[in-house]
Amino acid sequence: MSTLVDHYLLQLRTFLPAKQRDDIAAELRDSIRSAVEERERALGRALSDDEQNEVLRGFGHPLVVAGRYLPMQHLIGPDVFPLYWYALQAVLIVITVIGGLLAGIALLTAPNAAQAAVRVAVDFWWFALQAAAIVTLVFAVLDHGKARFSFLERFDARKLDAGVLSVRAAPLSPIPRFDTTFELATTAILLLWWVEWLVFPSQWLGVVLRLSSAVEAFFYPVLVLCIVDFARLGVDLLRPYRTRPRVALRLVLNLAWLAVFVLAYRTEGLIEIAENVRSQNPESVLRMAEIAMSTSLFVLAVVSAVLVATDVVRLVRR
Amino acid sequence: MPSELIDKLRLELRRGTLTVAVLAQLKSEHYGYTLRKALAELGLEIDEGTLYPLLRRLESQGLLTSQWRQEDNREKRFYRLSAEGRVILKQLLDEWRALNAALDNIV
Repeated sequence: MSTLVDHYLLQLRTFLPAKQRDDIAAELRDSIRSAVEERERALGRALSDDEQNEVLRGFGHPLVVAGRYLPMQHLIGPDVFPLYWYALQAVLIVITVIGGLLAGIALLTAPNAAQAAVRVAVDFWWFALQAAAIVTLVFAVLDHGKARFSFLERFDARKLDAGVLSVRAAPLSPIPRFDTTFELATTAILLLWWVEWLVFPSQWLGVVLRLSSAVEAFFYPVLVLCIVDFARLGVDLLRPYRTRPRVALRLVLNLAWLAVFVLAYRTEGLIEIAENVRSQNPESVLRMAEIAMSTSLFVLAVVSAVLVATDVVRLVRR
Repeated sequence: MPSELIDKLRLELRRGTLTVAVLAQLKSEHYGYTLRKALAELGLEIDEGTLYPLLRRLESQGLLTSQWRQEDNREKRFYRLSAEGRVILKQLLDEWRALNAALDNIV
């Protein structure tokens, strides 16, 4: 067999599953040999390299051929992919907003804005990539694990009016899946950041910032709210229509969030400097970060108030 | 009509029929090369990069059996339909005929 065919089979072997490698390669070697011999009989001579190349092209690129022997053909299947896509967009939007805030502070306080801009761009790109990888991994595990959303196949319309999730309760209106996925992503990011499993890169600012002891009073209320909200949003994802009990629950939760945001807004010194890495004016950076925090809390309080008002209207409207 | 769209739809149309055709042809024993030739002579072209992985998948699903044997001084892997494969093939052919009849009524 020619060098060309040997190289093709060598390439293909490297991509094949280890246990079947020799067996598959032997079968394909025989098939290639048969195809070459058939062409040679028709032409009455040995094939040139170009002609052998044509035979191998008929088999396909080694990577593509080897891939067809693998049992798993996709990382995230079609059932879960739409939710994965929403979640990925939501996570990237949220970290872009947060990254934008931190980048703004870095650019305003850095002695060399251009250098700070480059550092921010490089660090943010790396952080966004990690976030995308985590979302992809979570959904890959969900798709290929035992929890394959089998409730989607076990759907029973008769169960729609069961218990507290009754559809008999008005008003009934659809909840856009992107909205729910966005809220799930932001709640997940908040929860992970709150328990310090997710740390935003603040070294762009030249200082390492952290939440001060003033947030201790808020720790368990925020933790409980995140967990309850996560569960509520999970139900919204599975049953994407509003019901009176669930609107009432959302109203209560948003009132609680509003209270947390207002109290946090009125609390001073929520952030402190953990380490000065290279900043020449750390107090200025801290002040800017505190302004950003206050502004964010104000905006979140306003959003919560709007959501409360919306839910009140939904509940009183017939 | 864009050619990419036609190719994609054609691929979807062929995907299921290739499995039935391969199972049906393996009522008698073949190795990969002769199977491909037999299908081509009957009007169904299938490239090697698709056929061989399909044979392995069908074997892993218990629809085919295979063995290595020597022929013409070369080791070849011969495939044939298993007992379970015969049962499944009959069901697939019934399904195929029903779909064909339905499609004839529609078009």
